[in-house]
Amino acid sequence: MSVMSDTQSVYNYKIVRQFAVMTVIWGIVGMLVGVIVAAQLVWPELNFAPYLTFGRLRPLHTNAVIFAFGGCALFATSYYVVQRTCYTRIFCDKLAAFTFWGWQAIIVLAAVTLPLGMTSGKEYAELEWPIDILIAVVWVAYAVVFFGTIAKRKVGHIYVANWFYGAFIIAVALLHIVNSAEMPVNLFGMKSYSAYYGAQDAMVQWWYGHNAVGFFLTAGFLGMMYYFVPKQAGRPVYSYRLSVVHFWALIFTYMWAGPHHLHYTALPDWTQSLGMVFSLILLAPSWGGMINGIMTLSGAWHKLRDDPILKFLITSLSFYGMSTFEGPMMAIKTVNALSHYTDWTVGHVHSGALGWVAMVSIGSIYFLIPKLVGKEEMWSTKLVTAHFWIATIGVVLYIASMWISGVMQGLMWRAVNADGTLTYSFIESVKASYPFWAIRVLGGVMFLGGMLLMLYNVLKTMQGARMVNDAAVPAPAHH
Amino acid sequence: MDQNDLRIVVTVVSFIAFVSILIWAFSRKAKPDFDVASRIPFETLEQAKQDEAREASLK
Repeated sequence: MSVMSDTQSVYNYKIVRQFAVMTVIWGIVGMLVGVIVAAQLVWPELNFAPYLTFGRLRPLHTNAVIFAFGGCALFATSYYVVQRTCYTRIFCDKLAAFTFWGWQAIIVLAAVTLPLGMTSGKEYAELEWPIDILIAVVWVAYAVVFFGTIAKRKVGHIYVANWFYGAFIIAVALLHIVNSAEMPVNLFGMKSYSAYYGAQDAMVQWWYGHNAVGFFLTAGFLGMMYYFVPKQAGRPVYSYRLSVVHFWALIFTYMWAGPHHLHYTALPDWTQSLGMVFSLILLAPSWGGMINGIMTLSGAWHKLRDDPILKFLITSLSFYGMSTFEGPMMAIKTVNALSHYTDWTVGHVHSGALGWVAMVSIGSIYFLIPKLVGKEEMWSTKLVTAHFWIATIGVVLYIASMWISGVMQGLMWRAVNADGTLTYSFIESVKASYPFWAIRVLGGVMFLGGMLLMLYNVLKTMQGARMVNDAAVPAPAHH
Repeated sequence: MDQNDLRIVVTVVSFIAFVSILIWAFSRKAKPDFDVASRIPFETLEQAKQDEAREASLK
């Protein structure tokens, strides 16, 4: 083993730091909007002005947490991981900087246009056509930077985390460009119509929608898991072989699962059944990946006791396991007949989004921040532990309340009297949901509170710190 | 050959590719390469030292 470090070559930590800090900021913004829309359901008086109504803020919330918070976390960690595991500086600093400023511009444009009511109406793809074009340009730049770095790697193997990040980047480009095919009404207006129509439009939308979950919210974050869990646990991943099988199984199955969003609709019946079957198959690779992550701690379980970063990472995997069990179950048509259009779906999404995506990101960012500012650890480890417990209790309150209200709504909507009339009017199910919506607000406030603790801790860690821009690229011991 | 034949071919080829990947991943031949690959995040002396230091501080 040699430690001969090339003095010419240092890692680009600046780009990682920029995205890491914005992850925390956008997390707080996106979750705050989430708390506001949750509160609007409990107190409808909170719908003040047209641009602050539930209908406009809800897509702002989803876009902010998925693409601003989750997106920045993915950019930050992928740029860090690809440099560290390829033993080389990032390819083209200027293009990397362009992805940062371009992505921030997209987020700001989303925050302006969505409250103004400019939307293409496609879930998780609401942004109008000029922003869609900008997203495509930034995303292609991202791909060039990422794969350019892979191409100049100093080790033979491409580490498994990079396979997941790479698949996420390619798949999201494909999904975004195909689903956003649209015709602007005029060159200077923010209105366009989809290139697809009817059942095809629905199918393209949910092919996009579910694979946004599969590739944006899963594959990318699994890339995080495969780097940060082994690093924080201080040992290689439990089974590299399993990680390879995990990767290819996800790649070959995820693309087929979209139709489960369209059960009992105008979509052909066989397509619905196909989507259901592939959703059930997905349980295998999902749990394989979860077991691989958690078992990495095998023989080092004691580390969980006093390392809150590991607590975040391992708990996120538990939530990943829970939501990837729940998902296939909800994709079964008979279960879906009860769960669809109810709060159960909302609970399921948040078990994945808060429990898995947010927690694995938070753990990874806590790992990164000290390294990027030349510190041994975060300013306060106690505060990280506090964040962990507040966030965990918040998620549990959120998903448990949504399960109860969701199942209750499903049962009330399908209840019929002996003469065939409906037992309950819709508004009765709304009234019955109130207590659970109030509990959801509490859960959301707790999760947001945890993020505020994180921001304080990050600022304290960065105060007076040395911004590391000279971390030497070490020579790899193998190849 | 119509559109559906093409779809069938793509599906069958994908399935064969996946099964081939499984066979390769579980073959003994792949094992040494996997062992090397799994060490990539830790490969250097510098990082091994850091990891050791963290381990020591946790005890």
